[in-house]
Amino acid sequence: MIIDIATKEFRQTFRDGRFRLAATLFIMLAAIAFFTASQRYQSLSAERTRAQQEVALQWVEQGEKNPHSAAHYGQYAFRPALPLAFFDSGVQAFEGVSIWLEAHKRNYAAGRPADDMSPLASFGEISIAYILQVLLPLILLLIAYPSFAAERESGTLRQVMASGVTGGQLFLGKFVGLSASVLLLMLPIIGICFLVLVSTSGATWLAHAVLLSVLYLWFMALLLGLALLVSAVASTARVALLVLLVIWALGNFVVPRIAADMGRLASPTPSADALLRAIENDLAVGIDGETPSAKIEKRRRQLHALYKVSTDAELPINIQGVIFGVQDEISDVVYDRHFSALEAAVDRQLDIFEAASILSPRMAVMLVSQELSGTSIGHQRQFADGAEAFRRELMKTLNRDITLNSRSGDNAYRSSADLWREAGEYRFVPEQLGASIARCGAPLTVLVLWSLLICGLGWGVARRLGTVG
Amino acid sequence: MRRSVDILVSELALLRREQILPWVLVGLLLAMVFAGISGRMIVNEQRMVAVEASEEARALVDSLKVQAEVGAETSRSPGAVAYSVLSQPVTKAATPLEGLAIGQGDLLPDTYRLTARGAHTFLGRTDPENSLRLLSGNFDVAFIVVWVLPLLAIGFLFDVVAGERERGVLWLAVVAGASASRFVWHKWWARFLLLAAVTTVAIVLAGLIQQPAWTATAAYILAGWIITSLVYLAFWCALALVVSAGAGSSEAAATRLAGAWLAFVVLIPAVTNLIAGSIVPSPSRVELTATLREATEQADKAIAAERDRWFFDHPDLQGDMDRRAYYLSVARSEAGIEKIMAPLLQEFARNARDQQRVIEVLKYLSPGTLTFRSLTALSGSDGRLHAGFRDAVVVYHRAWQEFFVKRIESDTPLTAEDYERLPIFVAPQIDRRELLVSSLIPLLSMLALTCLLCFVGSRQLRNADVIIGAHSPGVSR
Repeated sequence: MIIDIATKEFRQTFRDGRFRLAATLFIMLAAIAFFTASQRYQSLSAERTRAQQEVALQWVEQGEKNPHSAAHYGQYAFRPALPLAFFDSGVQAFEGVSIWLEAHKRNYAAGRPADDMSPLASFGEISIAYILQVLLPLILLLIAYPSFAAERESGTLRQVMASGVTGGQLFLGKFVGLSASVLLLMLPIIGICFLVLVSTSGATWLAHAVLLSVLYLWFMALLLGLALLVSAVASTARVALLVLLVIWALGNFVVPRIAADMGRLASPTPSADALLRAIENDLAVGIDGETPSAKIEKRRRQLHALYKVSTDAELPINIQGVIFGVQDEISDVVYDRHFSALEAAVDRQLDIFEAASILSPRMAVMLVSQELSGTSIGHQRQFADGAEAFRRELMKTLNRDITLNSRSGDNAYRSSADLWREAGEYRFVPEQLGASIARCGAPLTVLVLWSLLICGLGWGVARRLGTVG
Repeated sequence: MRRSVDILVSELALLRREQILPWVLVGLLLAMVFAGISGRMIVNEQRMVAVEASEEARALVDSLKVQAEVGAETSRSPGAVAYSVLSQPVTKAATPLEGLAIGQGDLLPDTYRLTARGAHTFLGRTDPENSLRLLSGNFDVAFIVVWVLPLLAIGFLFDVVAGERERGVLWLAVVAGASASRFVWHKWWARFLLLAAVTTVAIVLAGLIQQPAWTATAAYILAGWIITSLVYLAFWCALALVVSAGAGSSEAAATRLAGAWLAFVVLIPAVTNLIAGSIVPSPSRVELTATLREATEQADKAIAAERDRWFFDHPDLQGDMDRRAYYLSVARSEAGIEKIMAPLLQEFARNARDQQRVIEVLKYLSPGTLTFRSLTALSGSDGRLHAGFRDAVVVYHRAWQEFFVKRIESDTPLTAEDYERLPIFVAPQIDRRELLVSSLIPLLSMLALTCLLCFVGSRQLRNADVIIGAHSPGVSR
């Protein structure tokens, strides 16, 4: 019986002019999104790889220099374009693409692509993920809203129920039939994405892609359940349509913006200027209750005592390398403090956003999708933290070279390409899938709660259908 | 005339009985007020940062001036002051109602802190932000007008013809000898006027929340906001009338109008954005970084010997140093880097202007884009004021650099009087005349489109099939 209902529903949907029109629009937009995104991914990927190689070469070929001059010259870390960014570009446009790794300073990523976007960027970027999160749900609710309500208005529902079909069978049959129609739209897109992914990056990101497919199928099932539920309880098809349109518009456009603004008001992030000034103040004050000069003096005395000498010139090492190290120790602590506070402020904003996703499952899907595509804030942090860890190691290597291979006061000391090669360059290694999933706890919980709610209500409504018709 | 007013009044009385209506209108008012408060807080926050920076810089200049009077070495060294001590914050001019439309105000900086070093050191600096928030966009008044108001218009009017026809009201009107067309128009006017009144009140309230200085410009901008929003509302109401008249059922009308909303407010603007980005592709930030690196390297190599003598950026490590020679080398290095970077930075500025030009043409594809552009232009957040500000900063920066480099080259110590002669930045203001010209054509275009839709609606309402439906009782075909 369920199969019969599903087949009838599928055929009916397929014959519906609205579905065909919407499907055509969907395919056209998906094609545009797919084409532009894959083009952009390829050019970005090539450009960043080229830039990273270029700066690595510049670093090695910088010639003979004092290592501290090289430390100020520094290196650049470019965030590579990850393969699934063509599917969901996430927050990448709003995050900087390169970090300058220089002495004494932790810089945050600069060069946000969004700064050069057209003034209409706030209307949204058409990506495949955007189409699946925003447009496909609209198509889905447009085909699902009359399912029960229109049949009730025309009296068909009473006839069907009178023929011995249970509410559960009818609900499930319609669900399966409409799911088949939606799958017909989704599967080709997912298939092409898989092909492109495998051809560009092999099997590395395959598990992510499989989970993304599961996520979007789950989302569609959830929305379909919601649409059928509304249709089943609405007095007329008109009411069902209006309610679903309001839910769609609120969930996609209103709630995310309100949540984002509330987050900003509740936990503002400092301006670049304020952050810089606060860091400069703390650097001047020093750490552990000691000014930088006091700390340097203390280290000098310790070294003098260790080597049993009374002047820097008598030391077998170059004290300047040690002083640079002390300065870096201080700046590392200060930068850690301010960057942690900055991240905590952003985290509080994200908490509000995640909490608001209870009102809009699309927001939860968006968060999980970005994590699985490697385009979330978490991935950006992983890139930045990795770059910072590398910068600190780089500075230690250069300071050590000054300390051990020259004597105090020897400002003419030079190092060459061997040291630059030994210091190496930053290579970003994307985190394991498990680490990305670990950040999805809250949004996945929201999706589970929505699923349970819809299943529960669906069960209740299906039972009521059997008695009311 | 009197009869029309009576019908309108009775229609409004009927609307009062619809239980959900007051809630929707109160919701609109509250949403606008919330958006106004949120916009004001965001703008205030930006302004406070700018004021703090400016006060701090002023205090520093005053203190340097005092030190220069007593002959303190650092305050008299143009190189030390230019490259190590003094940075000058410059801020974009505030516009009276910028809190109503954040627009590009979120992405483009309102304040630059410049030094005598190259423009590349400050032009690319951005505030640390929650990127997810930037991706989600702002819940500002412009968002409510452009995105939400059309949905309310659709909700109010999608069944203005189709619904009345389905319920047989139009048939009854015809039977009673009344004009069904007039009946529909009165209904339309009543709903439009109600929405328009609430929208006007809401915008005025949101405007008052911004607490602008009530100058002629502020009044002009607020009037512009109200007129633009009302014309946009009228467009959607007219479209709802035409679609409702042409649709077979109120359901079909709602579906079509939802499709129109999706097209005009979501898809066409997004596709326009895509097209603008394709016609005028942005220069690469990655390339900019690589070029900066190359430029730094070239400049460094040119003065490598001098740099190594003082350890890169650590003149403090050299006890008895020749300050003038050091700062001359810094100035030369900065000039070398700037010479290479300037064309690339100009390319970014040119690209932004070209994109603006493309958008100015493509915005006519959708009333949503047109309205958004007009509202952000009125609030000074459409990017044009930012572009003007940026250009002015670049010019000012040259004067700032020149002021110090001249003294470094001639080895002239700074005096207390010099601190009073520091170049002063004058931020470009919003130009009312330019605003009028730029907002009038979009407004007139949308008004023309609305009139056209009303005309089409009138023609449709003269058609008996549209009014009473092909299958109504007593209609012979």
